[in-house]
Amino acid sequence: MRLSTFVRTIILTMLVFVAAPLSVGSTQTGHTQQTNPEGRGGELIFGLASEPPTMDPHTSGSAWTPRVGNAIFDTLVWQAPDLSFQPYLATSWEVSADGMNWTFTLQQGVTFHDGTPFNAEAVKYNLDRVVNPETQAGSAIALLGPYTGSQVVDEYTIQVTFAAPFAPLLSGLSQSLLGMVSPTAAAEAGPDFGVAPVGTGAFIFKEWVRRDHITVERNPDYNWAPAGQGHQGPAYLEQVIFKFIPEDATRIATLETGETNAIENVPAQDLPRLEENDQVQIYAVPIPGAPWHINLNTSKAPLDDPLVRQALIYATNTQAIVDTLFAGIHTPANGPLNAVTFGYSGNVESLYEYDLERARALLEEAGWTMGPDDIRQKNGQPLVLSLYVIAAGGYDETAQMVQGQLREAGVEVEIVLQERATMFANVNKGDHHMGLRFWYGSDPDILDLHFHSSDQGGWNWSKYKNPRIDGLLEQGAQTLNNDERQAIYAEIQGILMADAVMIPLFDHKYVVAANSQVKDLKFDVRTWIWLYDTYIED
Amino acid sequence: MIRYLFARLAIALPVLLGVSLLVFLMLHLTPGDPVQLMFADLGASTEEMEQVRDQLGLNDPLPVQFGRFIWNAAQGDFGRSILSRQPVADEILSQLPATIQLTLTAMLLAIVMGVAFGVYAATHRNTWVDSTTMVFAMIGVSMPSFWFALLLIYLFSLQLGWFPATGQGGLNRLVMPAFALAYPTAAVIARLTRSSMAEVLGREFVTTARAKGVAELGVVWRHALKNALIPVITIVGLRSGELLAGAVVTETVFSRPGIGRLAVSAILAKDFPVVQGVVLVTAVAYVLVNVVADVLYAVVDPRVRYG
Repeated sequence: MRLSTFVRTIILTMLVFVAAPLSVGSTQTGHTQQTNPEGRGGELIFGLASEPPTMDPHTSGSAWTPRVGNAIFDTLVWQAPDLSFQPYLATSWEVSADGMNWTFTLQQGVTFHDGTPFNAEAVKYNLDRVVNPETQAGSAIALLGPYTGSQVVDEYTIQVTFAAPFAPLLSGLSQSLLGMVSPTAAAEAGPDFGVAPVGTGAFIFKEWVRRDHITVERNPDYNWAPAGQGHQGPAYLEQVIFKFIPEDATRIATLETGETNAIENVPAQDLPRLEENDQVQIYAVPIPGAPWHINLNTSKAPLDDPLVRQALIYATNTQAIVDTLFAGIHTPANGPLNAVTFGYSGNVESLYEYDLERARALLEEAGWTMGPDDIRQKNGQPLVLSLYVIAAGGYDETAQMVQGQLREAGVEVEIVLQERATMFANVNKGDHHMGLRFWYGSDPDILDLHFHSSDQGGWNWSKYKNPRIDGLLEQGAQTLNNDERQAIYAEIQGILMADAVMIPLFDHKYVVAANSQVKDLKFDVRTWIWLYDTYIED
Repeated sequence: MIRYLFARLAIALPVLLGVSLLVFLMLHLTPGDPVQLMFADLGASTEEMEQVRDQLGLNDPLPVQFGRFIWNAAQGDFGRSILSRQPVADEILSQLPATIQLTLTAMLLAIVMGVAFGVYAATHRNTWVDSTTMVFAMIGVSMPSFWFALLLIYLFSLQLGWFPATGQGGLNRLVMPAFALAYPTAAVIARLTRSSMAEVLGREFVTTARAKGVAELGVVWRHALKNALIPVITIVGLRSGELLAGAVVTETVFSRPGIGRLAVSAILAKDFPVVQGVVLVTAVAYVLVNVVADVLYAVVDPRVRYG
């Protein structure tokens, strides 16, 4: 055929491909609507830094699932800001004398978004689902510990049994990971439940456009909010759109252009500019779990010497790191748990402080004397330690500052920057001297995951083996009395820090920036967004 | 011609098999465990993770896993994503339209801008028009695309408020990303068209045409262009791979859905089935584009015949 005809055909075909998706494209409308008597409502567009991999609360291991999931799912128990446990879908509970049988009385009149009634059968389905290997749950299983089964006593009473007393239960039941899913929907959808979540929450899942957004809309039948909320009945917001905007600069731009009215994970360098803007309010919420810290590999010389490990802690100036890199927004840490975590013990605060002279003295005592280039050496070996870091998220700059500080004590640090998958694989093997990280957690039992000697190839990055700690961790999980529990974990934290298994850096915060029209934006104790009382003011 | 096309497509099969094997080996032999990554935020014990790995078949020997993939793929089942548990085919199909829309628009823009400016520069050689065009072309091939994308967002979204910075849907969300993606390729095409055109315009048949009294416009666009386009077609065929790769950066910066972003997040999460699926789809696209390029040679140049 003639060239011109051919070219014309090609261009027309390409235009069809281009135009067709355009005609079904959607644009966001940003105007708010006031519908309820108090005049509160509106649409929240929240910019997230990442997309949840799945919206199935039981199978996810990602922090983004509960950030969105809090709107869609309720839990049996609510943890109040003072860390006490309050009624939610369960109105009351009691535990047997031997600590192995819990009885929960459930709230009546609660329904799932698909009409399925919420009752003891539903709770049994949920708990059994979590421990069923076919569900492929991971993080959620740990929250049920030595769960053996549940029995339906009557329609609104359920008995949950364990092989041993399990103290972290209430904390687990208050977490979105154990959110109540609709048995009907979950059974029918199988693995596809993750893209069509059905819960009892204040918002109903509406749509999920992969890599773009998730939309949820107000549940008009909602009437079972937990204790301590600002109102009763349905939520105020008519609709919430969670948009996924991984690029930091773009996400901040959307807040300023109005494409979003709230965003998370504001980088520290943008905070001063946003703080000056009186159209923007900043929330900095402390995150329970571990602070940013550096795990010290106790199985790899020279870190098998506790004097060397302690010296490293004395040589680190965390206040300087916080002020230089994070605009002072985080707080220096002292131990393996963040100060806001249930079970945190203040006894670790007096153990160490920034003291370069002390660090130098300890290293001398350990036999590491000053060598050429101001690097210490012992038996001809220079003191060189590797620091494994993920190449993202501000970890690399923190590592560089630590490197600079340790240098002053005569320790040379080699930073090994890798992407997450590779770094985890290497640290699991124990290739590292030091590894930088943090983790989320609501109950001190999470220390078991990271410091029990049985885990030498997983999350126990310090490769720590201490039978006394093992015993205390197991005891802590089984002691139901709160005060006794606190004492046990206080002892654990004290030992871990005396043994210098890690260099605590800082308690970090979840930083959210919102348009000043967004009112009553709240966060639960785990810092997951809590939108029940939120509304947009015109 | 038909026999030629069949032969080309038949050769594509071993190519696709080889690509799949290579990617499979790269994924499994490099360090990293998708299950541990999956539970990195909220934590899971070694036993729990091992249980999930068993369920996913990740503890089976490698030849078994690869064989299972090929056997299922041949029947159209690409497995399920490790992260989302969704069928890989669904994940890819849901992201593909956005990338096709972006890449085709960018390619169209690049060809139109590149050829137009290239021809114009060639016919006005050594004037200020020529120099300016070539300076812009030089900028286009030297500037990092993510920086250019951010610059566009800063100027047109933040400062002028003409276009939204993110998302997909509607012409106003397509303009900036398509332009950002097209610019480097347009620059390459412009430079190539200019030099190719300049060379063709110096040939005897052009002088003949002018002598015969053909209008200059006809000389350039009807006679000379066809000859000048041959190297350009080659470049466009090869650049299509770069456009698909550039789509990754563009999609990330503009927060657009697409298989570029799907691939990146799957690679970082070591989501084997998704990566294999995306690579296969991209390889197929690349093969098809180059077959089309070969056909175009035959259209443009009557001397080319395939038997």
